[in-house]
Formats: sequence, structure tokens, C-alpha cells
Amino acid sequence: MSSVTADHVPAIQGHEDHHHKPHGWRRWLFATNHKDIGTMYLIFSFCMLLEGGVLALLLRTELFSPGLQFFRPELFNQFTTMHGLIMIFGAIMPAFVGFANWMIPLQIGASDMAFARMNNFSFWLLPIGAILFTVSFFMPGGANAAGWTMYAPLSLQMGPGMDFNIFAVHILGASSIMGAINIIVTVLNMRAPGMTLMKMPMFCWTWLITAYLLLAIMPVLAAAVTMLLTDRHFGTAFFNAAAGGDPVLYQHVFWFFGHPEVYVMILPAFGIISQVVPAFARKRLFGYASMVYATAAIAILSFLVWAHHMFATGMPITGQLYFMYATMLISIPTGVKVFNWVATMWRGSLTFETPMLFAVGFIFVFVIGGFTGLIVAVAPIDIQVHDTYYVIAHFHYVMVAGSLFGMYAGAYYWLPKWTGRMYDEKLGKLHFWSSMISFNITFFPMHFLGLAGMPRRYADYAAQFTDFNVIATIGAFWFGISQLIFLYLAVRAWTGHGEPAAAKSWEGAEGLEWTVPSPAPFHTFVTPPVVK
Amino acid sequence: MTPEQRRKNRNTALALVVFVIAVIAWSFWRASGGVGS
Repeated sequence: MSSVTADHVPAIQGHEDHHHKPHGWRRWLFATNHKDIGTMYLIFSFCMLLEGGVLALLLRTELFSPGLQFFRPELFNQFTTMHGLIMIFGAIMPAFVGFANWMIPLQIGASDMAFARMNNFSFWLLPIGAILFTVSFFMPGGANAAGWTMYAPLSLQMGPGMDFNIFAVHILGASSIMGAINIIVTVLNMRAPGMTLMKMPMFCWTWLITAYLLLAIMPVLAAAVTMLLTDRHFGTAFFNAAAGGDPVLYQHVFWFFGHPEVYVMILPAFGIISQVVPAFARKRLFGYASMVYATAAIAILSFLVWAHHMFATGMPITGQLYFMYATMLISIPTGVKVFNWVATMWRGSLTFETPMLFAVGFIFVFVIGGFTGLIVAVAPIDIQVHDTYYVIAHFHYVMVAGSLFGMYAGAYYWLPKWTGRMYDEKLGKLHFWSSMISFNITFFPMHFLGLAGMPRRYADYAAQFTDFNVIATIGAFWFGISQLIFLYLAVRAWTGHGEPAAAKSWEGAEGLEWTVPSPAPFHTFVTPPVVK
Repeated sequence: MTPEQRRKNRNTALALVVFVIAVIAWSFWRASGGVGS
């Protein structure tokens, strides 16, 4: 990224904050301001993170010792399924849309998102989807217990909770599609004069590419679950083998969505890390153009590898070889990114405030998740570890240590801009170290459990797996409690406690967002800045 | 936002909506054996 400076930005701020700022509940229900909507997205996603987290702790409680302690296996499977769905569709995806809402207009010098009312509608669909997910537990037969992938034929045999799930996925998918359209149009059409595409901050680039990914995959998921619905209730036979359908077809359609979905949940985190690392290394991002091309390459390759999730279904050897090698190919652009982050830090004036700690922690643990991804990409190994705890360990290293730590890096980095207050650095660092250690205590032993053959999605296990499960459960509770530190810090900052933040809250931070006061005024860049 | 910018935004969004509808249609077409499996 070129060093972006703007002409006369402070001068345009003065009068803007006083106009058209609604108050009370109307401000939130009818919100069209990108910052308010961003805030609502972030609060909503954190609530869903807590809900999904509680489900995870219930799972770990049951798995503390072998045998059935607290929950029937059917209920355990509902917990596993809903944990996955809520974390993906309720927590991670909306959180990144929250970041996008807050930061993209500020970073490109736009006054707001392109479609402010559609933005409001996109957000308010989320609580409806979340309610459908949650109340499905109280339907006859309980919630969806077929796994977050909703594989046929099991999903065809579930009770009405499954229909609630399908409807929720439709609603959340529609929200994502509208959000993606809004982001693409905003980035393409509303950049300030002089803000060329190749001057944009990496966060905007990664979100632009993510938004295209969303537009290409969410309709596929919508079609897949609609076919499930029509198979369940309207006599079609897409996936029902007894009626001439093909259950494996569902897996193909689902994973055509599902694999790029992984990148939907990680590319915006890449963008955040690409903002945070240069700021705390006090250097420009190394290899900006190669970062852009690597992001695009990852997105394109993500469409070509879906069946590596399906090696165990039985596949011609040529198919296995293709999907194996294509999957391995993704490590090249991902490696470019990791190289560039390390090269940015090389000989930089590094300091390790909380955002940087989370960024460096992200790189460290995400790379572990990436390497285990390479291991499970190898078809013969995948057939061994398929549906074991090795896979659980792998994707939690990517989704928790990747997406969640990336979000925390961004949240601490931009919290002063959002709230106008600095958080308590000591507590921030405590949050990082506590999360980092407990995360590894929780998930690292799962590699060993998986390699030893412990299958996932079972409420019980053989006695030889006890020790590592005890360790994982202790780590999980530690990790869960650690997140309350962030909640405390965020609430403190948002309620006006802490030292006032400067407009440029970090010495090495660059970009248009740091040219406006902290907290960012209600209206910004009504007159577009001129970017040099 | 100028009327010109609104028009530009609307046209871009419409193109994207058409793409979304096409992907949904393609998914159903492929899943129902539309290419003659």
C-alpha cells in the first residue's frame, strides 16, 4: 500500500457531527449509519460467540470423562451441530461484516455504505436467524443433530428443528448476500478521489475479494438447503437414495459452498493482520501487490478443491490425486502472505501492544493450522483421520486461532477509534496470553486423540482417551473464562472509561481512518478527502 | 451522494443480483442432472 495522506480532512469534520443523529431506540432500529450498524453487528456477533461458546463448554463438560454423564447422545449431537452453525453463521461471519461496516467507508474515504437501508435490513435479519437457531432446541425432536454440514440422508430424517435450521440458513444467507453486494458496490464506486484500488488498505482488498466469494457461494448453499427442504416435504428426490436420488451429490453441492466458506472466514482476518503488523513494526507492508494477488489466488483456488472433504466417500484415484494436489497448491499464496508478514516485521521498530500480540499469535497458530491442513490434504492420511479429533484440532487452529485471534487483533487496534477510549493495556495482554495458552491446552491434545483414532461427534469415548480429554476440557473452560476479560475491556471503553484516545491512536498507524477524531464522528467524509 | 452515483451504485448492484440468481439456477440445474450425467 502506498502511504495514504488526505488533504483538508480535519477541516471537514467540524460541523458534521451535529446533524441528523437520531436518539433512543430509533437510532438502532432504523439505523442507516455505517458505524451504528457496524457496532450492532459486533455486539450481536459477540453475543452469538458467547452462545456458541456455552454450547462448546457443555460438550467439553460431557467429554471430561468417559461414559455418559450429563447429556443423552441425541442432545450432545444437537450441541455439536448448533455450536458449529452458531459460531460460523452467527459469530464469525457477522463479526467480520461488523468490521467491514465500521472500517471500509473510513478507510476508502466514503461517507457511508452504498445502500444504507439495505445495510439496516441485512443486520436485522440476523437476530431472526439466531432466534430460529436457538428455538429449534425446543421443537419436537430437538434441534438439528446432523452436524453443521447437514448431510443427507440424516438431515432428511430429522424433526421440524431441521426445517427451522434450513429457514435460518436461508435468512442468514440472504443477509450475507446483501452485505456482500453492499461492500462490493461501496468499494468499487465510493472510493475518495485518488484512492485507487492499489492504494486501498489490505483490509478493504481482502473484504472485496471475500464479498465476491460470498456472492458465488451463498446462493449454492441456499440451493442445497432448498433441495433438502423439497426432499423433506415436497416429494423431490435430489438426495434421497430410496427414491433415486444421490446423498453424495449433497456433499458435492455443500462443499462447493463449504470450502470457500472457510476463506470467507479467514481472508478478512488476513486483511486485519496486514493492517496491524505494519502499524506495530512501523514499516510499510512488505509486498503489498503480492498480498493482493495472493488473496485473489487463494479465493480462486478455493473453488477448485471442495472434494478433499470427501475422500472417504470413495473417489477415483485420479480424482483423489487432483483434489490432493490442488489443495496443496493453496499453501503457496498462503505462504506468500506469511512470508510478507514476517518480512514486514524484519528489522522493524517492533513493539508488542495487544493488537500486535494477537497478530503475531495469529501467525504462529494459524501456520500450525495450515500445516495440519496440508497433512489432511493427503488422501491416504485423510482417510485415516477423517471424522476424528485430528480434524477438530485442525479447523479450530484455523477458525479460533485464525479468525478469532485476527478479530481480536482488529478489535484492540480499532477500539480507540470506535470508542474514543484506550483500553487497559495490562488487561489486554493478560487476555492475549491467557487465550493463547488455554487455546493450545484445549486443542493441541486433540491432534493426539485424532491420531489415536478418537472419532468426533460422539458423547462417549474409550477409556484410553481420558487424559487428553481431561486436559482439553480444563483448557476449554480456561479459554472461555479468558474471553470475559475482552468483554470487560470492550464494555469499559464503550461506556467512556479509560484514557481518551488521540485521532491517531497508534504511532505507526496509517490510513484515512486515523485522520478523523476518536471516537469517529457520526458523519465522516461527507466531503470526500483527496488522497495523494 | 449524487444522482449519478446512485445510478452507478444501482446498476452495479443489479448486475450482482443477476449473478446471484444465475448461481442459484445453475445449482438446481446441476443437481437435477442438467448436463446429462
